[in-house]
Amino acid sequence: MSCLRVEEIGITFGGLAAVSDVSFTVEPGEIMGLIGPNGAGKTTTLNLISGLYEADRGRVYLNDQDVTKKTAYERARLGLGRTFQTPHMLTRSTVSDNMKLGTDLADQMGFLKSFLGFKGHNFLDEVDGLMEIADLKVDWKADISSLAYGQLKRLEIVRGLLAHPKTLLIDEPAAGLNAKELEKSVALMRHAAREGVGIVLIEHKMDMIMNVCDHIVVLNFGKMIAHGTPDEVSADEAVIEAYLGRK
Amino acid sequence: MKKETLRVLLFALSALFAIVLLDQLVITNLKNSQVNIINVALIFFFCVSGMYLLLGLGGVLSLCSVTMLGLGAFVCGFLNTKLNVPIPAAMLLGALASGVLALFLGLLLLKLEGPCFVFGTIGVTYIGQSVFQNFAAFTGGPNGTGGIGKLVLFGYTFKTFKDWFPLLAVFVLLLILLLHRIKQTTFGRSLMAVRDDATAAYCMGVNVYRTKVVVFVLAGVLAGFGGSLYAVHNGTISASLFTFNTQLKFVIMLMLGGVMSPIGALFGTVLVNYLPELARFANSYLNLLYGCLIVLLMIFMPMGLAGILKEAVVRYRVQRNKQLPGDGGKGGPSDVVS
Amino acid sequence: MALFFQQTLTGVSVGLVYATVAMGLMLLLRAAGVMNFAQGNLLAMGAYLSFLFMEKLQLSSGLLMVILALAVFVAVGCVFCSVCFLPFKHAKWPQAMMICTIGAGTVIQECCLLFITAETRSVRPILAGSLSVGGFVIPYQYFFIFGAMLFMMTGLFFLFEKMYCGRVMSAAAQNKYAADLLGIPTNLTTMVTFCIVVCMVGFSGWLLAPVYRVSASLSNFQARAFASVVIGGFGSLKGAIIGGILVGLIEAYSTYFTTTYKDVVVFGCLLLVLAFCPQGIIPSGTKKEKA
Repeated sequence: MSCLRVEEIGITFGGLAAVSDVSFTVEPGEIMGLIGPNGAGKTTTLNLISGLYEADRGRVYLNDQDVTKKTAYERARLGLGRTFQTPHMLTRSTVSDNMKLGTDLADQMGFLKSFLGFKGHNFLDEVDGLMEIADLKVDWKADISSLAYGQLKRLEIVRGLLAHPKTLLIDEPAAGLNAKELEKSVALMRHAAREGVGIVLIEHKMDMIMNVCDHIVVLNFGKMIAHGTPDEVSADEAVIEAYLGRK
Repeated sequence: MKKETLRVLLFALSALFAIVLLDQLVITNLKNSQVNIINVALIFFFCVSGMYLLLGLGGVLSLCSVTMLGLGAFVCGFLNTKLNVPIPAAMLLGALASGVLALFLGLLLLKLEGPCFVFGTIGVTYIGQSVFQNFAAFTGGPNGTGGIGKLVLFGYTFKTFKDWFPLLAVFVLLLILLLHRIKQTTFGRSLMAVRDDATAAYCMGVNVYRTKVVVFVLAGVLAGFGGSLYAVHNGTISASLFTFNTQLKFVIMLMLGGVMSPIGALFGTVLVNYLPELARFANSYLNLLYGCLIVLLMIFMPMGLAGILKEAVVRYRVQRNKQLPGDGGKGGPSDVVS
Repeated sequence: MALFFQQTLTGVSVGLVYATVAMGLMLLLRAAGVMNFAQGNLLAMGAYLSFLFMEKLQLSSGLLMVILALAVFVAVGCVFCSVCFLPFKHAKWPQAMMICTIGAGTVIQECCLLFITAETRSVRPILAGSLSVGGFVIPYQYFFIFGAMLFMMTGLFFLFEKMYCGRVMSAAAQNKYAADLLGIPTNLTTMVTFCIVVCMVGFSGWLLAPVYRVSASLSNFQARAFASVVIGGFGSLKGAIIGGILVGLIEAYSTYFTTTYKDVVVFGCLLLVLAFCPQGIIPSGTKKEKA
């Protein structure tokens, strides 16, 4: 059973086919890299998968369930996590409120149950483990806006993982992070993959992609030009021509 | 979270104690008209707390709470005076009527975003204002509704304003505890997500539209119940209260006290209501003073009184953390009753 | 038939006033992101100034009055901008700015009441006399209002939609950050926008004074301006103008079947428009991203 399957998905913005005929499958515990030059349609593909854009063509399956017609929050509740290029945190809330949002999604508890104090997943236990892997130490009561960018990037992945997703879409985790912070992000992803989460990863840092990913899909001008293991992709003529170029 | 429960209990007990003290020492010595002002402020807090849920937690600026307040008041008054419905039932029905109206309006308007929604709610307030003033069969028109019965609870009749104060104060305490609790529930966090970042909310499984509608209805019910209380407390209702200007006053009450804090909002409500009494010496310059005060407050403390307090606390905590290095992460994710 | 013409005439002339107030509202919303609740007070201020200059101080020269008024309006605009916009540029809650405009509006109104006159006064029209055609009478002042409003509106329309400096101002309004990077002085353009809006709304108030008399209740025009902005189509100046005139006409024609529920008719239309075509009568053309 695959945790995410995309079939010939496509969207057109005012005559420009931003993404067309992209198909791939992500198995549980697998890290899939999605690469391509700037403007190749990587983030658009993620937006199509997570339901922020409505696809013009094609289908999206989560755990073999067709979710093409479902909205973004319904897909999230079916186990699709997401992080963003620039972190989308609740800018006027505390760190703990931000992170509990992840546990809330995992629990999917109604208002009344939550109001009466029913217990779901233990937030503290889970978050402590993840925070240790991410090497983050934050004041829970602090305002989220007081944190540094590198911390936010990692916190967003932690928040995504707190929701116990089956698939996690990660958009450029390395952007703006230093080497040490990046290492911790990778550790988080590896941890998640070990737990059986399928990961789709967009990244520009080639060494990281080659190092982390089990297989790679290459996009150019919204089209899939290659896919395979890192070795296959880096040997592929079309990829070298379109993307790495300067052989 | 045992510690948290204990803290809330402690807060509730001390608040109850404070209410008793206030009632015995302060309220008994005030003039009836002054007690009336305070009581009305406490009643308005129902409306303001609804706006706290909407704006402070949900980021939805609705300018039609006063219509919900009015509807609750007039439904309660109408049922009691014309149809002889007993007071407690009439009050609940008043709150229900506002809730139904809020549900309808919420479904209709909350699909819109930003200024369009605000303009829609302004429209509702003006429609409400006009209907309350002119629909004589229901509201009594320009004369208003009079002769609403007294509230009898467990054989005790609430006759004077001074009788009412402890009851209203306890209601307000319960309301504050409720608001505090809501903030900690999944629903509260969904609201915060909607307020701060709709995209993040979608991706964290929050149904933005439904969350907004639910909070709109909740605010409507609260305002409606406040309206019913107002009707029974005063015995008469006049349509001239439920105007757009009153609505703006509610917004000022909320922002003055602090949009993120229920207790702050309570202080703001009482302050704005009591200001004319405090600044009697200024009489003809009162409004000018009021305007200047609002401008200055918004410029120098946009988060209201509670915001200032919170900033001070944060500064203190930062300093303490500097003295004790490595204590940063041990706070535990629980919130202060703020 | 005469009644119909009379209604149409009233509708259009009132509508033009709504349109100017609505345009001002729209400009401020675009330029500063502030919903200005002092718009009605600014309108009333214009009327009060006309009373001050024409009746109280008995100034005789029209040019002098216009220059003085212009100076006052520009001064108020600058102060208004530096009080209600500049301190809030980085505020977390845009609502604080809105409350500030309410406060500023109260201050403006109280100043007028305290320092000019506290009673409802009438002002003599700029053009006395009236034209009678068939069965109904049109005071010349109406023509003057038509002319002046149309002049102001076309001027503004050309400034903001066609001319370079207007486009610079719109650009600064749309994306402050990018405009800053391009070297557009956003604070200055916003301040100029505030001044223009205050002048426009103030002079509309001035023109209205003879027709509606001078009183604080002139600020009630503001609510209709809110409705105009939405009915015409949110976001465009053209929409604000058409919306204003439409609201004026709706209000005028509604007297055929009700006088007490005028508000209900006008704002009911607003809700209908919001429910069924939230883009307004004139959609502004920018399509929203699906989300």
